[in-house]
Amino acid sequence: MERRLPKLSVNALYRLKWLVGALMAFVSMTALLNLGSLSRVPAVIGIFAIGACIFFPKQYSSTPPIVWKVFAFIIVPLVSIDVLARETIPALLNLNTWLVIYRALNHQKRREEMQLVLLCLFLLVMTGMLTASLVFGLQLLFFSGLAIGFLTAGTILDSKSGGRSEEIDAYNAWQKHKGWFHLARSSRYRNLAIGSAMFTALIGIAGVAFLFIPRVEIQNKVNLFNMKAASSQTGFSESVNLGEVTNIKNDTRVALRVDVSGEQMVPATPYWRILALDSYNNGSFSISPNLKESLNDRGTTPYMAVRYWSDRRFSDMPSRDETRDRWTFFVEPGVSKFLPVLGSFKQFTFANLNELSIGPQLHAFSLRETPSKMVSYQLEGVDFNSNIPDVPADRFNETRMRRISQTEEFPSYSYPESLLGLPNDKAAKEYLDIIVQKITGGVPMDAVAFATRATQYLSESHNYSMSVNLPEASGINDPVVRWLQSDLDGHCEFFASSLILLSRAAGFPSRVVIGYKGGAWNAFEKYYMVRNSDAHAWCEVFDGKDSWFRVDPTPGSDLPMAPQTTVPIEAQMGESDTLAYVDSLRMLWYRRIVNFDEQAQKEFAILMKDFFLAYIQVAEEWAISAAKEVYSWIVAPWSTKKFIYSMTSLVVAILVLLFQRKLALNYRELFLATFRRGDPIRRKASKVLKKYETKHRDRTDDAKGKRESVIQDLKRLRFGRRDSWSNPRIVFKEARRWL
Amino acid sequence: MSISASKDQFMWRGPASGRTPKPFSVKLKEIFIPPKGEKVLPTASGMMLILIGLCLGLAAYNTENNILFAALSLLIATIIMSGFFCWSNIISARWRLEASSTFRVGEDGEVAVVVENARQRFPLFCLLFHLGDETSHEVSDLYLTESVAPGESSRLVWRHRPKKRCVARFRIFETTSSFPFGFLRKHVLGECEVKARIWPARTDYQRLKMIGTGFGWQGASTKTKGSTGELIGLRQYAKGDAPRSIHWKVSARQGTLVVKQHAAESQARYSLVVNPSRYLWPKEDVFEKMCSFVASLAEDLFLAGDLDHCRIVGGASIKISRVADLSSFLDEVSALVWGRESSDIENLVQSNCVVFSPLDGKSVGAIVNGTTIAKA
Repeated sequence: MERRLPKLSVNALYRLKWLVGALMAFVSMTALLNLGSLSRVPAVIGIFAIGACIFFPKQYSSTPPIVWKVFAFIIVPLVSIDVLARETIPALLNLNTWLVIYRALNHQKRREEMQLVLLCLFLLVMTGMLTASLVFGLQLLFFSGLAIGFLTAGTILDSKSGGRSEEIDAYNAWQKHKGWFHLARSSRYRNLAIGSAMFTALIGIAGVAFLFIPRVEIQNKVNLFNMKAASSQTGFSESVNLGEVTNIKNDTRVALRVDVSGEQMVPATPYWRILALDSYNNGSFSISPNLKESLNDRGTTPYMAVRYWSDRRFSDMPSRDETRDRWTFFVEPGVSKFLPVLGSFKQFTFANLNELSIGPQLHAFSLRETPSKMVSYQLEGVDFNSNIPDVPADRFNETRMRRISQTEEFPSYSYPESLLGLPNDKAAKEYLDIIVQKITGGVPMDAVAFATRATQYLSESHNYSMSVNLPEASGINDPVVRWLQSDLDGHCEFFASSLILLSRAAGFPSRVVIGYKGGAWNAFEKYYMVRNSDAHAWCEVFDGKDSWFRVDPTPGSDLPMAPQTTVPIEAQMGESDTLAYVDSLRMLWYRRIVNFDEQAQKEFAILMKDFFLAYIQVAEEWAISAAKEVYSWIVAPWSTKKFIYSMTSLVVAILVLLFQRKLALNYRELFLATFRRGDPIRRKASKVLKKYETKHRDRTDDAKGKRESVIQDLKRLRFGRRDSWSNPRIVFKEARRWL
Repeated sequence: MSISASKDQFMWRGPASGRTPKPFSVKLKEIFIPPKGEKVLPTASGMMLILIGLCLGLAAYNTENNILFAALSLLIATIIMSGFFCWSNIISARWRLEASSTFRVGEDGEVAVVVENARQRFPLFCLLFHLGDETSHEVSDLYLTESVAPGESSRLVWRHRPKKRCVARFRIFETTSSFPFGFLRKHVLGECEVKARIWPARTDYQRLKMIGTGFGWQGASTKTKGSTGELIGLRQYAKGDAPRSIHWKVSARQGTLVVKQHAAESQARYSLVVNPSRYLWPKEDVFEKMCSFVASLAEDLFLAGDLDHCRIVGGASIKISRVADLSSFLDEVSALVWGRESSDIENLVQSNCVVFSPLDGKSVGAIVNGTTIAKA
């Protein structure tokens, strides 16, 4: 017998509704933690306050109302100070947070419940727009579940209290509180199941709505909440000291995800190029001041790119050329303001082109500042060979490329002289000349040959190591030259810096490039996961004609101008562990939610259409082939064995049919009986009676007496005691005959 | 159906009141083209949500931010679910209206809504019945305070205290379902109506000196006529006689029912005659006082066993033998309309006939054989 639990009283339901509301506010508060230091103080205070009230509800209920009034009064100066002292968005976030705290602990009326839900939603959406992280997606899911629970509890409470939910004495309600577990024991599984079904339906409908809300491209988009929310994760900036890239390698978080479509062959070891640095000074590489100024004052916009790269296009819409391969990049927040690319390309698609500036001299693509949320863009027609096209100096905007005089404080050259810049130390230069002489043997050679020799020289002299302890300075101050002098092992930055200095000493313009090398292939969602631990530094040397070729002097790498090793996408094995799975969820979030646009919507619609067409086609083909097989089987010559087989099958079929007819219930009813409530015989009798009532009741003929007898039998089956039943099989058979 | 045939004798109303459930296709059609009188309207919270959704949509389209589109989708889903669930909640409900057998001005009576969940799986939640008295324009909202399990019913009671004598028409104006979120509300016509007679309130009246016997003016009263006093004879059974007054031995002997006749029955018995004509009652308040007086006097005479007949001029005479007879007379009194001209010209002056007449413009007197016996 089912245990009948007492229904929740008005007071218990009031407490339950309060708990769900508090949890909802709690979840929205935790979203603030995604923003880093921004709004952390109010978030921590809110989480602590709401958590304390959940754990000590009686003490919370005893709080005099004056406390809440004072709190509401204090919010005004707090927000005023925020508005004056900070930017608008942090002030807005703080205001929202204080209001959520206040409303979560003080809601009695229906409109106050609504206020709480909307304040929480607003807080969550703001943080979501600032971070666009997967965690936000999970928080939104939790919030949705709690919000519908909260609203439903409010509606039921209003009905249960006879429309007087606003008059419930909160103090008395809390005095009867015996703990949350006691309340949980009173809840029914049925209500939990209904709640779960409602939540599933909500998510399902929301998902469908998200897919089908028409997306329209708007020319002048507004950038809401465009601000820095998280601190930088890595150190890819305009100036890199020795060891900084290697430090990034200690971080194993994913920095970049790259989705590949349309390309059958991908490089076995891709080089994700973030930035090239031309100016060298005592172990530190940076961008020349004049180039830096050109990049930072946004002198070169994507709209001017055609001046430098006539075959490239920058757009906010993907091209319609279906034959091109497409590489979609998802860069994690805080990685760098420079966007990684993979060599040359045909089109660069980015939603906010106004935010982008290009550096044609260094082949760099920069945002205004390091993004605080995920950034995505797409490259089409990627040519991942090792060469980067050079931009001839006569195409440079001379007004932007004005020379900055060399000063004592920063003794570096301006571009393009910086590409041949060497240490100021005379001894260092002399040592470099000696090494160059050693490499070339005094024979003139071109850049490729020199780079190849130099790479081999470095590999023979030094091994790879993550940690380097340079010897004390003795005559030469430059750390790279000191490392060259030694037989110490070194990391990629030492190898790259050494090769740069050697190339420049030999008269070949060169620059160091920072970015990522390699990356793991995610087997779940088929994309590249590039981690910070893949950070790398290599070089680019000018070939003397029109391009820069890649030289990676770090041991274990290919030699310059070696043919690029490519592999088919299908052959990528990649990672398939739990971490990769979790990462694939993040990728799904980026692909399907954050990056869902008009194009993706069209693709989805086409996919759906293709799916149904393919399904129909498969079914049609199956039906035709089955018909053909049956036909060929029939028209084929008959043997005794075939005849016996056919007759046996026919007899079995007839027997099954007869057996089925003899059963009181048919197979469908027998199968469904397990999923239905009540006796299947009674259900069937009810069904037959109902059918008779609706269709044949007014029929008058000679069989009226017999029909009434059958009706009586059916009613007995439907309502009567089991021992009064006639044989159900016969009753149903008679019903089929007479009704 | 789990609802037994015996329950179907009631006049159920509501979406599930039909004998056979509606086909799914009809239900589906009714979502988009609701039957007459049915509508789904947003509540204040719902309007607010729709407004927020519009703002969010505007922001989403202007920024092309999918986070905003996700939030917008959630709001849209909430509104769709609110509409769907408030519809599906009420679609399997049926109800009927019950009222107390007697209502009296100034006294509490019950008007009850019996609501039944005709579903087989899911409970019924959060219905609101808006009902009231159409005559007096008094209304009340009845909330379904507890969920109703499948196949079960619940009784919601409105304790109503009428203020005016009349024939009341209690009616469920509409039933609404706001489950689950309260953003949208499904309105369905109530369709139920029950008529009830509101008897006049009891009134204080002054008993004046009585000439002759009978009518326990001195405080003695009997509840049943002929049950006390000395046995003075036998008579034929008449409709309304108490079964215990039947003399079974004599009845068996004579082959017909014979009852015992007591001395009390031979006491003087009175007939009440009420003339509601306008010429007699020019003021409505005096008329109402008369109605109350008539009802009070009729009850007292009945309790004393001294009420023989009651009649309203222009109507049939009611022989008062049982409580039901008195009730039907009081029902007629409750339906009296002030200001009606009576075309009947009757001789009201009969023996032991109590008639009512205004005394001094404010009070009402009960007059028997030309003598005022009571005054209100």
